[in-house]
Amino acid sequence: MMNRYIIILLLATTMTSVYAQKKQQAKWEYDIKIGLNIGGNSPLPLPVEIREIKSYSPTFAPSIGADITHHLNKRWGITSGIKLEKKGMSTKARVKNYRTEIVENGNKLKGNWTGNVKTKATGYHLTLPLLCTYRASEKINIKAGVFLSYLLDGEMSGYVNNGYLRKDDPTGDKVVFDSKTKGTYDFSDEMRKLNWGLQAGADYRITKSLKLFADLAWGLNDTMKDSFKTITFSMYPIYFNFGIGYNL
Amino acid sequence: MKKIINIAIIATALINTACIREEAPNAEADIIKCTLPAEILTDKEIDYYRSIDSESNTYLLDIEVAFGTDLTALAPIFELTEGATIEPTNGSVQNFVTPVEYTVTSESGKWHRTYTVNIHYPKEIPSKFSFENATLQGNYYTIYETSDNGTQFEWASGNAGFAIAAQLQGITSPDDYPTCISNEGYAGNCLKLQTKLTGEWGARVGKPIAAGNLFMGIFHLPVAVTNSLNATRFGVPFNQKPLRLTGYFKYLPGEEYYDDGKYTTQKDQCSIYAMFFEKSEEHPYLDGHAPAQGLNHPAMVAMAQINQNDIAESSEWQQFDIPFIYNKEIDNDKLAKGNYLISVVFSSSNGGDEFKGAPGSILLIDEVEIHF
Repeated sequence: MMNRYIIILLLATTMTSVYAQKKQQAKWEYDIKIGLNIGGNSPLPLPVEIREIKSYSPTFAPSIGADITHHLNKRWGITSGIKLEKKGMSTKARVKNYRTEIVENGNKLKGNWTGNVKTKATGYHLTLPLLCTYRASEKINIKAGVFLSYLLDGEMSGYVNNGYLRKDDPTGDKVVFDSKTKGTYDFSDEMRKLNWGLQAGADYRITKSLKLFADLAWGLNDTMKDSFKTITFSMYPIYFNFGIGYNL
Repeated sequence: MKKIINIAIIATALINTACIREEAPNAEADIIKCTLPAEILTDKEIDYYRSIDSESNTYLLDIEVAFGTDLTALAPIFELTEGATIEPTNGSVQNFVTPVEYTVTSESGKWHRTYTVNIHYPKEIPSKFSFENATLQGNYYTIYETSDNGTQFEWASGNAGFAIAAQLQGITSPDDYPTCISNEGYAGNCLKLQTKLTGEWGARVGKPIAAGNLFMGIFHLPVAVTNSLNATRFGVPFNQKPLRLTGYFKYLPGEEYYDDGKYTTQKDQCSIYAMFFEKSEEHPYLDGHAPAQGLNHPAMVAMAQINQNDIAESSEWQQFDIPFIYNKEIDNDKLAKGNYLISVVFSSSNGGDEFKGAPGSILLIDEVEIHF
C-alpha cells in the first residue's frame, strides 16, 4: 500500500517537472549529438627523441552524447551533459635514443631504441563537460569550459622496427632489427583512467532543431599513469570533436 | 574521408617543420673501429660488440698484432660514436705490455663505456679443450681454455643472441642459456649445450628455437636477429695440419622436433664437426652458410664430421674420433704464417642454423683434442 503511494507521488512529481520544463523552454535546452573525434595523443612539445613523424592517421572515432543547457539570461548559460566517445590515432615516427620496452608475458626488456616506432592509441571514454555558453547571435553559440573523461577501455600498443636497440641503456648491447623483425609493445594496462582538460567550441544552428558543432578538447594530464616511466615524456590527448546536434 | 586524410597529411608536414626539435647530442659511447699501422696489424677480426665483462666491469677489446711489434709504445686511433670523446687522448702513445683501459664518453656527456684494450701477439690456439672455465659476460657464460703457457683462448657461442629471448622469458641464470658448462663432465666440468625455445618474441622474428652452440671464431651480435647466419663467423688461425678430432660426448635429444611452426616426430641430431680453410680477402672467415657447403666451399681445405649413425642416444659418455678429410694440399709456408683457419663446432641440434630442432635436446662434450 505504501509503495503504491510512493509511485503515485513520483509520477506526480515527474509530470509536474516535465510540465514546468515545457513552460520554461526558453531556460532549458536539450540536445542529442553525434560526431567524430580527430586528433592525437601527443607529447608537448615534441620530445627531442622524435626526429620525424612519418605518418599520422586518425582512426574512425565516433561520439554520441546528450547536452543540457541552462540559459541564465539572454546571452549566458551553462552546459553539461554526457558523451560516449572514442578517441584514437595511429602514428609512425622515426626516433633516436627513445626509451622503450618490449613486453612478453609480463617479462620486460628495456632499452633505448633508434629507428621506427609505430603507435596505436585508442580509447573509449565517458565524458562529462561543464561549459559556459555565450549566445553570440541567433545562430551561433560559443562555449568554453572543462571536461572530465573516464576511460572505459583503451589500447596503447605498437611495435618498433628498422633500427637498433641498445639493451638496458645507450651503452648496452646493440641488436639490429630490420623491417621484418618487430619488437612489439603493449602499454594498454598503463593508461590513465581519469583525464581532464579544457574544452572550447561553437554551435551553428542550421535549422530550428539541427545544429553543427565543433569543439576542441585539450587534455591536461598524461594519457599514461604517473607510475608509468617507460616513456619518458607525457602524452596529452588533444582531439577535435565535430558533428551534428538535434535540439529536442 | 579524403579531406580528413589531406588534413592529416598537412598536419604531419606542419608538425615536422614546426615542432621537431633540434637533435639531442648522441648518448652512445662506442669504439666503432680501432686503427693501427697496417704493417703491424694481423688480419684477425676484431669483435667490437662484446657484452660487458662481469669481472672487470669493462668491455673487452682484443687486437692482434704481428710478432715482434713493440708493445711498449703504440698509439691506436679510435673511431668513436659521433661526438664522443675518449680518455686517454685518442692517438696518444701507450704501453700495451699490459692491457690499457680507455673510457669513452658520449657526446651528451652522460654515458660512458670503459674498454679494456688488449693488444697482443697472435695466440697459439690450444689443441686440447677441457671446458673447465667460464666467465660471465652480460648475463651469460663465455667459455675459455687456459693453455699450458698461460694464454687464454675464448670460445664463441650464440648466447649473446639469446639474451633478448632470455629476458623476455624471465631467464636470469646463465645455466639456462643454450651454451654453458656443467659439472657432469667426463673429467671435471664439461660443455653443456641445450636447445631452447625462444618464446613469443623469438617466434615472431622467425627464430623459434635456439640450439646450444660453441665454435671457434666470433659471434657478431648486431646482426643476430636480422641475418643470423652471418652472425656466426667461423675461424681462428691454426698453424698445424689437423688430422683427427677426438673427444667424449653424451647426447639426449628432446621429445618433440620443432620444424617451421609445428612439432614432428623426427629425432633431433647434434653436430660435431671441424672446418679447416684458407683465409683470403674474400673469405676472412666462414659464415653460417659454409657448413652446409662443406668441402664444396671454395675456401674449404678439410673437414672432420661425425657420422650421424655413430651418435647413439645415451646417458653414458661415448668417445668420438673423426678424421679430417682433405680436398686440397697444404702449403707449409702459408701454414706457418697462420693463413689457415680452423673452427671446431658443436651444436645440440644440427638444424639449429635454420631454427629447427627439439627443445630440450642436450649435448655434453668433454676432453676434446685436435690431433696434428
